[in-house]
Amino acid sequence: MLSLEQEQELVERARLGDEQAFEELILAYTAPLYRAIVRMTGDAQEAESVVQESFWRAWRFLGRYHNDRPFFPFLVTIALNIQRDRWRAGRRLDERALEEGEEITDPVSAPELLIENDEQRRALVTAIQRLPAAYRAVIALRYETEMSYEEIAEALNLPINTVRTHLSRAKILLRKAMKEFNG
Amino acid sequence: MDDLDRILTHIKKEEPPEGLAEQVRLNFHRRHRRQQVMRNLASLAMLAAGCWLLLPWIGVLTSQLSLPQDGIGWLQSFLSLPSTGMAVDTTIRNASYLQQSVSNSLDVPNWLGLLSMAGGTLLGLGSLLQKKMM
Repeated sequence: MLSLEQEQELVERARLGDEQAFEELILAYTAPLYRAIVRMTGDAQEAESVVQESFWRAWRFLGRYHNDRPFFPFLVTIALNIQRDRWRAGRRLDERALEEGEEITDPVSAPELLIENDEQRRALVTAIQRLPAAYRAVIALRYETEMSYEEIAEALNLPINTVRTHLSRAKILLRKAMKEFNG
Repeated sequence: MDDLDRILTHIKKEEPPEGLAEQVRLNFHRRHRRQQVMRNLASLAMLAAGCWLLLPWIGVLTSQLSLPQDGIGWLQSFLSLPSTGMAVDTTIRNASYLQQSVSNSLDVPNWLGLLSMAGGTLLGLGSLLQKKMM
């Protein structure tokens, strides 16, 4: 990842039409963006295509980017919008839509969760894929790209407390899934 | 940080396929080139359309244009115009007359032509400035 100063300089040059500066941003952020998107979609090809499109749109909408903020959340917001459009087109979002009033209670009064082997690890990844889209997005951004709550809130255009709630509910669902898996 | 946080942080990350960043870079480069070509073509087309629409008007305008025979005398009188209040008044009246006559003589195709020329010039300038920056 680049420092904020490096980013600001590159973005400023890119805004003036400097292709090379933007290419440096591409080289720096392709991998973290791919990791986040592939965790959200569970589909490598789809993630590649979203990453390609995200950088192109970022170039076109550089004028809307506020240079005093990190570039990566801006990129993630664009990628999520693309992903959301695709989900809508494929009606996948409807299937996994999140009901706001949904009651989620913690089934485990916290015996420690142990992941001891690859099978359990795969089960956890599958459980993440089965989460509602909004929870999956928060999990991916928090753990794949190590974004702060503030950055996630900005990228997803959500209040920070909603991000915390989504994360906490997502973890409850993951614990539940792993408990079921472990019997 | 609880146990699940630790597990999720250390869970194996999906690494991008080798060369993805380079592929994205090349794709961006290609699309940008295509965009520039399209922009240049659009600029040329708008300039050509503007010229074509304005050509009859330019013809009329140039046929009506007459330069003063005594150039130096005309220039001297022009330069001394602002020295008197009446001359200023005449200048303003003439300017407003000129504006009116230009507006009256410009019908829809001429306005379209002017707009097209202006759009084409702006697009072309934008492209030129970007190239200069690179």
